[in-house]
Formats: sequence, structure tokens, C-alpha cells
Amino acid sequence: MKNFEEEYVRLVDDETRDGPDRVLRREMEDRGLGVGALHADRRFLRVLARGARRREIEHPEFFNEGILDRIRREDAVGERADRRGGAGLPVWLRLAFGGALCLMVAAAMTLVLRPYDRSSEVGLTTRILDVREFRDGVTATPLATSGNHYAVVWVSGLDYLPEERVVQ
Amino acid sequence: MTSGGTGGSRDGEDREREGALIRRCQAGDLSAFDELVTLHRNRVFAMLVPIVRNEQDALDIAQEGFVRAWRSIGSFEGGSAFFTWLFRIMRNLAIDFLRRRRRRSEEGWDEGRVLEDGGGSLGRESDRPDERAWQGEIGGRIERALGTLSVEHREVLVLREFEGLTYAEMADVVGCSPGTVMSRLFHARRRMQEQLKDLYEKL
Repeated sequence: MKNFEEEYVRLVDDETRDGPDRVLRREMEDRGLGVGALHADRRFLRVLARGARRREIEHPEFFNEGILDRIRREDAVGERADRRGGAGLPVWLRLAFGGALCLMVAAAMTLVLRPYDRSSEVGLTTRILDVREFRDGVTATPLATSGNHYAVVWVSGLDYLPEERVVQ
Repeated sequence: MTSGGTGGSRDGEDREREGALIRRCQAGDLSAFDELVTLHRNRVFAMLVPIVRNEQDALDIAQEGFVRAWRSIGSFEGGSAFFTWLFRIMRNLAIDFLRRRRRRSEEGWDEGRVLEDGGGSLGRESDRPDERAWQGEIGGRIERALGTLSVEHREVLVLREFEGLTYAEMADVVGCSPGTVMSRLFHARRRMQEQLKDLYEKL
């Protein structure tokens, strides 16, 4: 038999058939379904149909209104998006626009946030060339800019500068 | 029950009216969709409740399903009956919902609020009090037994025994072959019979 379950369901549902044919009867017996099984199954289905609860929506007008209201709201949102523009464009075009925008933002960020060029500060940095100590805790420190544009001697520890020590 | 099903037994006038409504919906007429929802809402709800086993969840899924139906009604070509097309949308949403609920339940987020006594409004109610009492008792037993079935078995049983769909219509809704549908139906019926044996044997 092609499919017992299929054939048996057809037999139960077709009340014009009084019983199974020879092949189906043998299959039924093999599966432990006796002669009374068919009638029991049909009786069961009648009980099922008679006893099944048939529910109805309690407030049908609210049910409909809920659906229509949601459709109207979603349509209104869609129309607003259309008016703003862009929503009607194909996806690939929207993606292309998005990509171009990202590139422009990245370029702008690169220009603004590039590493600070310290070369312009070179003229302001100084090197200590030497530290000379004199008596009474007096020190003289010659300083030079890295470009040797200026040289400064920093003297500390002096309350006053004796006349004979003044260097022109 | 014959294999005709209630879906196939609706008269031509209803089908013509439904066809006209669908065409108006496809042209963007929301008031026509309102009528279409009215035509199908109770049937959809009755189909969803025993599958998801919670009335509020069934209502939410039904509303979501109708919104989706409106969004995709332009693609409905009439190759199948409208209600099988609609049932397929609802059924897929219900299956997604049950998967989410199972995940939440496994993670301890959701205990899975389900029907306990099968409460709710009854349709096809008998005028006789004894018959109504019997329906109340047996209805609760049927719903509890349904709750023990797998979703695959539950849905074919509901579509066949409660909604009266044909095998082909069920296959269309569930998305598998009629043979598979019948095999599931066979096992679903046997499971239900085992649990409700005392109930139908004493009748």
C-alpha cells in the first residue's frame, strides 16, 4: 500500500464508504486497528465537531478600527518620508550617497585632526650649551636656539653685577 | 465530515462579493478592506485561538495578519481561495509567535499564558441548557487535549475538524503536500482519541 495513513484518513472522512477494502483491512489489522476502529473514529470526529468551542471576537468594531488605524498611521509615516525625499530613491543609490557622505566626513576629519607639525616650534626650543659655576654660587648658563639664531647667557646667583665682570 | 469543507461550500454570490472587495482593495480602497476583515475576522480568530491557546495573543496575531494582508494584497492573484491565502499569513505569524514564546519560556521570561478552562464566548451555542452544559464540559476537555499535541498536529486538526478545510486547502495553508497533511492528521486524531476515549465511548 502506498501510504496507509493517507488511505485510512480518506476512509474515515468519506462516510459514503462503509468499510475498508481487502488490502486496507489487512493493513489495519497489522496495526492493531480492529473492525470497530472505523466507526469509533467517525464517532470521535462527530463529538469533536459538536463539542469544539467556536469563539467570536468580543468587540469586532474595535478590532477593525485597530487594523485600519494602524494602516492609516503607517501610510502617513510613509508619505512623510516620501515628502522629505530620498525615501523614493532606489536602495543602491541611497547606499552610494551614504558612502560618498562618509568619505567626505572622513576627509574633513583627516584635515582637522592631522598630527600637529612641531617644525614651526623649532625656533622656540633652546639647547643648554654649558653650565659654568663661579664663586659665591654664581652660575652662568649659555643657551642657544637650535637654529643658532640667538644665543643667551643666563646668569643666576648674583645680587648685582660687578662692573669689572660685565661682558659686552 | 466530507472532504468538501466549509470553505468550498460558500455560494457563488459570496465569492463574487469577496472577489469585488479584493479588486477594490487592490486599487487601494481601505473601506473595502474593512468589509473584507469583517467577512473573515471570526473565522481567523477561531482558527488562531486553539493554535496559540490564548485569546489575546490570537487577537494580536489576527490584527497583525490583516495589516500584512493589506500590504500584500496586490500580489494576491486568485490562484487559491482568499481565505487559504489569508490563513497562510495568519498561520505563519502564529508559528513565529509560538517559537518566540517557547524561547522566552525556556529563558524564563514567559510562562506561556495559555487557555486553562477554555473560557471565552461560544459560537454555535445550543438553545438547550443540557446541550450547552455538555458543550462546555467537552469543549474544555478538547482544548486541554489539543494543548498536549505538537503545533504541527494541532494546526492540521484545527484546520480540518474545526474549519473544515479540504486536504488540498490544508496543504496550501501549511505549506506541505496533502500526503504529509493526512499523515499528520492521522497521528493527531489518534493522540486526541487516546485522551478523550472515555468521552466518546460513553456516548
